[in-house]
Amino acid sequence: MTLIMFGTLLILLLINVPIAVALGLASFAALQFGTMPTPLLLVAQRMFTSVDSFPFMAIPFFMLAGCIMESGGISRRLINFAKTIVGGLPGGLGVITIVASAFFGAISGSNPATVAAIGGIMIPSMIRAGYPKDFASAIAAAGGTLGVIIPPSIPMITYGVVAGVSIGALFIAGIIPGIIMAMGLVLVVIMYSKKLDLKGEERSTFKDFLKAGKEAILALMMPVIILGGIYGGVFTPTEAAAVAVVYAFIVSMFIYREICIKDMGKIIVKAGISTSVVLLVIATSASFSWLITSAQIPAAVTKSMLSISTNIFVLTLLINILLLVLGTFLETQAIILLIAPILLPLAVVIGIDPLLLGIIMVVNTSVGMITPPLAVNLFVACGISNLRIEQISRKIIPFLIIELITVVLITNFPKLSMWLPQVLMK
Amino acid sequence: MYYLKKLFDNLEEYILIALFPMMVIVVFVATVARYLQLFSIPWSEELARYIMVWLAYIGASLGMKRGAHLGIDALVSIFPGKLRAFFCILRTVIIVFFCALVVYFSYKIIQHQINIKQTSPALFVPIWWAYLAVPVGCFLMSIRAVQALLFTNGYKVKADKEESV
Repeated sequence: MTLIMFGTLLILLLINVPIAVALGLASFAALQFGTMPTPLLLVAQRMFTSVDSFPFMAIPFFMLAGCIMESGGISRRLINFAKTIVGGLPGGLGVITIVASAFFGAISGSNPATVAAIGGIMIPSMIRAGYPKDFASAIAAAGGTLGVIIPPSIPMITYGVVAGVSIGALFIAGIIPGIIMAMGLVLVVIMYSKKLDLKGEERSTFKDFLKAGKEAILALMMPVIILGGIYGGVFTPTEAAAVAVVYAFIVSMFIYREICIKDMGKIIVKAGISTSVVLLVIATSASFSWLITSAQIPAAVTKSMLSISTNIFVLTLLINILLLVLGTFLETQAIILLIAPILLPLAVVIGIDPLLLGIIMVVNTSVGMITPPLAVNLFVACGISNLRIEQISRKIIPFLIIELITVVLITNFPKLSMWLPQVLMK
Repeated sequence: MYYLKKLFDNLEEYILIALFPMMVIVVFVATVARYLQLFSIPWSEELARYIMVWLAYIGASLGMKRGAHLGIDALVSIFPGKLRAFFCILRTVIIVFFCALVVYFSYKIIQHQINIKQTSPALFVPIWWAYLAVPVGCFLMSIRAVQALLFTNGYKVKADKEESV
């Protein structure tokens, strides 16, 4: 049965069938031709029950809040604010792109949305300032990986639901890894810009900083409301996300006044499509992951992994490699939904906290979004700069290397992720 | 006739624009009301969940139309033209086949639910009203997949990829 299941999935994926459909059909095939006495009805039923979940509702809400913020002039304000802080550094515009992506990551829970929001403005201005097109696109694509690491984060919601880990704790745990990743990316931009002799922007005065800060404060308040609300026990992540939508709507519509009610239709449709793409993968992954568990694959994987080595360093390295390889061609949600149940028992045996495993998985899959062939961040960045993926693949390599170093750091120093939630939990 | 065509062309958009704000309002009002201890709505969560299921499947159909459901095109894109066209058709046939399976089994589930008159736990409405989203969404999805094949030749436009996650 395992063979039918994975064989069907692999063949369907190779001929460009959408991942959600491939997962669903592979489940049908496994039930039809396998030995399991379960009716095929299971797939259709799971397609309802898995989506019928209140915790998952945070996904559409964060998507919508992000889309409103993106069109509502908030990205521009965050960029201006970032400019007054880091604009003076060598490669100023590039550094601004990374820092603004980090800010936007604190509002949006999705990588491509971050690339679109920040890259949409910064890639053209970097090119105008004389940055090579491929370098400018690579910066924006790499900055986008901060979108899901800095909370809120759609993949963290998925992992939290599947692994039964507190979504609030995952959000808080992502903060420090996100900041480390951002600093690493800034470092690469500076080093590269020095080589290309790209100067910084004019240094900003403290007055400029205050002025830009005042403009951006309403946007920067959003993560405070979300995380504070969840941690203060005021609301659940889903409720926090709904509050975020209303907040984003009020700020963009009545305070910044950059969108009108007529724009909302387009924004809703855009957020709706992004949501559905994720939820459809969740829907069909449900039966597939049920089959994985029924076939006792997690136990088999744990056993074979432990037979390779019992050294925690080697095992975590193997986990990282597995996740990175999967991340190059599989979609993030699918990886989390299918692999988390497999890795969890192993993680428990070798003493990795489920919370830490979540951060490791989210960071790894996020890095996967800048590694071709399936690299959504690169797609979006290329769409903005009119390049082909192959043309920016080379410039992405230094960013990729620093991100891999970050992955190794996060995996081997659990405190980086665990410390903040532990302190705040008390 | 013009209006009918317009409705058919934008069906999913209209439904999304109606459902999404509704879902936000239901959860937001329930949250605020609970926080201020004004009143509690026992069915708010369930209603919001059912709206989300409809939203997900109607949106999935729209996603199919706009080529937002990502696959791996690395292998197929290196094939010569004719073979690639064949795989585009095959891909659509597979999608339609999958949708047909889901519609068929959902129909069986719904039939059973109607027979035993199962109602939802909080709203007390027939539970198949919520389950219906799955077959309706998949039915629309198969139509949109065929449309996408006929009118855009099955090739996704780069810009569409921005909209996916």
